[in-house]
Amino acid sequence: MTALSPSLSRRAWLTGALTVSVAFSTGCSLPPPIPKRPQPTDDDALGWIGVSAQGRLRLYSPRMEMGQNILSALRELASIELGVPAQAIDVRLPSTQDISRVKATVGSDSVGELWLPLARACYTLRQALLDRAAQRLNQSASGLTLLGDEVTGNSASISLAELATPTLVLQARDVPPGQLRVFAANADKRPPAPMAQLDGLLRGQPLFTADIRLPNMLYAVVLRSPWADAAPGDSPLKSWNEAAVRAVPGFHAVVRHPRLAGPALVATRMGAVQRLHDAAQAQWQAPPLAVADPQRLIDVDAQTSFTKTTGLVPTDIAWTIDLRLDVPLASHAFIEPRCAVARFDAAGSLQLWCGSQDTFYVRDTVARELGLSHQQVQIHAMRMGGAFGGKTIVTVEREAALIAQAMGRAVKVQWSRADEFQAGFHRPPSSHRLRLKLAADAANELRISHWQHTLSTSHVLFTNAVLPPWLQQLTSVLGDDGAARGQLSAYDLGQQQRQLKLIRLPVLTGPWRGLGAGPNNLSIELAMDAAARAANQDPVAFRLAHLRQRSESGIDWKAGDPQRLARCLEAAARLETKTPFKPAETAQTATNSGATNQRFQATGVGCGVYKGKSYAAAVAQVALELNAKGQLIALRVLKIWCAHDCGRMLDADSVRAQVEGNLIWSMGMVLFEQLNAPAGTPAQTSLADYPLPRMADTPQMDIELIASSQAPTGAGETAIVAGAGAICNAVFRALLKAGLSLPTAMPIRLRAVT
Amino acid sequence: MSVQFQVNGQAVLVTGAMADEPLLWYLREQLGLVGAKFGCGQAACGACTVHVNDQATPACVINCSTLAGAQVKTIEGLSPTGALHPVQQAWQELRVPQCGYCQAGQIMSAVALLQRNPSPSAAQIDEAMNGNLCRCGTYDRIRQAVQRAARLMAGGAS
Repeated sequence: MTALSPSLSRRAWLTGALTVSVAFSTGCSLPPPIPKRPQPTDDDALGWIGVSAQGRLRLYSPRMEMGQNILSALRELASIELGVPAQAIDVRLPSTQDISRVKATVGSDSVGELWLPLARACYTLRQALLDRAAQRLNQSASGLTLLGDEVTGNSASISLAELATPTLVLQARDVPPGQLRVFAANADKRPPAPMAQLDGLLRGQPLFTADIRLPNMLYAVVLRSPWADAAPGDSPLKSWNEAAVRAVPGFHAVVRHPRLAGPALVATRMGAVQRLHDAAQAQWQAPPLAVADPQRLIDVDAQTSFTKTTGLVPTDIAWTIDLRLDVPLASHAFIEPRCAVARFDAAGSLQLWCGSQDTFYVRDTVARELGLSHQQVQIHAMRMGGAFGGKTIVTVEREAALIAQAMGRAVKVQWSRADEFQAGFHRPPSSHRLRLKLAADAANELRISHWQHTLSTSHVLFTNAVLPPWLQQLTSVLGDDGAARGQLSAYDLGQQQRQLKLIRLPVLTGPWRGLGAGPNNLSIELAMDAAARAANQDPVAFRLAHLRQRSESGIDWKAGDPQRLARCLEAAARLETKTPFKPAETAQTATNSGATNQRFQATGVGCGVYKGKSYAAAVAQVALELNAKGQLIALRVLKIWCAHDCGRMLDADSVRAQVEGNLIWSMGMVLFEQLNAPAGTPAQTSLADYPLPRMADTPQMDIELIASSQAPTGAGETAIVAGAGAICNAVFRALLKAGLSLPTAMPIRLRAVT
Repeated sequence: MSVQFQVNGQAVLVTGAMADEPLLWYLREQLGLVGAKFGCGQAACGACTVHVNDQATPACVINCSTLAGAQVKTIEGLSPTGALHPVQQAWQELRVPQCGYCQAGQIMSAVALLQRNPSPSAAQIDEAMNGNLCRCGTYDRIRQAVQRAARLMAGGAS
């Protein structure tokens, strides 16, 4: 528990500014609260759907909105089950006092986990409204219909406002799925669900955290070391110019608190915040053990022991293919830097607005740090301007809460882009060694008989962005399913071994879109393509052979259903044949090609399974242009064809949008994104220095969503496991045609070891 | 110091230290026009794009003091009658936004493009929109939406 004792300095009073010092009674080494991951229950779901006093149907989304369009999908589900238009349901992001605890919005599992309890709750609510209406109208419930705002019968109707009083008490019912309307609904046959919050987005209405404006609000920035340490004090502040800070117009106060990474500079207006930061000219002591380049630390060939080894292969194998792939550190680079607004009321309770993937974890953490009960902390969920796994921890929220408590006024803390790069966490770099052996099978076809994937990377789930150093040591031996995600393949790879080495790095690492599945599947797809070339076989047919010719007993279902992946791959290949690339006049096709320039085109294939349950396959077509000297002057992705199977879909167009986004991320991963940290901290602090795909880089896309009666799984992180491999293989094949190796400008490094 | 300019057709007078405030913060924190977003503070992402004298301009790096007599338009001023501007309408039809944070800036860049070039080619769209980042990857829909908006503005219904 933290005791706060504000004390005002004489000078502060004299200058009209405020300095707050804080006594601190406990150490920083307390383990952080553990994010709780309760599975949603039918009882929980009864709290999500209801009728407001004004007679409107109201749905609290138990998952946060960050662009996956979950608000629309859940509202669509409720619309189907209640039998009312979607527009008749007000869908909202809840505060932590509106619903019971729910788990974080992660892992693309929202629809899969929520559809049944939410559908049952809607079924129960509908029945309860009809039963009450039947009583009030003295009619049989079977002759009544629930409309948007009333229940109507043959000759009379009653409004939902009337039915909402007294409060309906709902009892969870174990409704068989077959009785639910949503079970029979088919997204393919419905128009796209109306998009929640779309009008607000188009008109610039306040939906995001930074849009919150409170009376008498202050603005703050925390001085922090460029080395993001798990514990404040590891990189001590050597010097800063406090006098210059106090001289900046708009300066209000300095807040010092041992739980903050450095002094918090408080201003009366937002425009002064960056000036306060710049005037401070803070100098920091570099931590002695945290200055190494993460990419060198995880060199797969430098590892002599492993955190986890699964399977065994003989040591004397003559490998047919031996590849080394290195994938760099990468930033989430969401366009919305994180922000929080905090205010204490007169009774000492905290109101906090933030865009977080886990608002209950924010509540738990902030309550603990400030010595408040859960009832004294209310977290108001806001729409997130992108998150991609990056807004799963508690950072700016605790800063805003601590500073607001010290100041006794509402405070907004807006992280800068440099804060995001240097104090946020990132996709860990990974270093892969892929070895495989081809051998003739019973039909004398070359197939993979042995496989070894050695992976060296850093932590994703047991992230150093949250765990204090002592807890990092304890968890380092446990492995990390997030880092290893996707290493287990759906292919029949014969006798195989998977090795994982986890290394703590000086930079913060954690979940990124798809966790380890993107880089791990990329490495597998590069090896599969190399094997197909070595076997002189068509890349699609070679992959299908390693999916289709499997005995049921040999399938590890944790890797997914190989037949579903095979169907995806066939669909993507068909799509490419059916809708070939046709040049359009875009910035990327309208080049200034000189007569002597050479152009090489190639297609590449990639496919994969996400979390053993969502499937995607892609074909990419790329073009290279070489000048008269044979130098590569342009590399463009022209078109991507993608087939996607995530089971039943509630809102097919939103699934399609997620596939589009994943394909752009696939391009970013292979062709653009690289965060450099040669001295143990990201060297880039601006979006101008961190390359991302842009409009002119965007290829044509042709996407097929495979209709399925299987349970809904997830679309938010699936296509990246196919797109990256397809693009990289296309680039590699085009380079082979041109007689070139991978250009050094690409972020990934790939080389044949033998 | 004081400076006068117009925001969405309304005259504003900015005085004192506030005149030295970046336009973005003045719009957002003083006027409550929060459509333009903070993304980088360095004119590197386009999330804060507004119009200054009909030109798409990053509001994060331009100070109020430089705007004497200027006409500033934000996304809130795009549809003063309540009916969506054709560009907003195209964005709505094609369901462009994902997270939506960058989309006000995208729309303002698209409107500026169509004001100076009512029928841009795909290459001209790519070039004009290349400074607006979208991390969710909605570029393909943005490209289609700009083309759709051009048709709507030309009076075409389809």
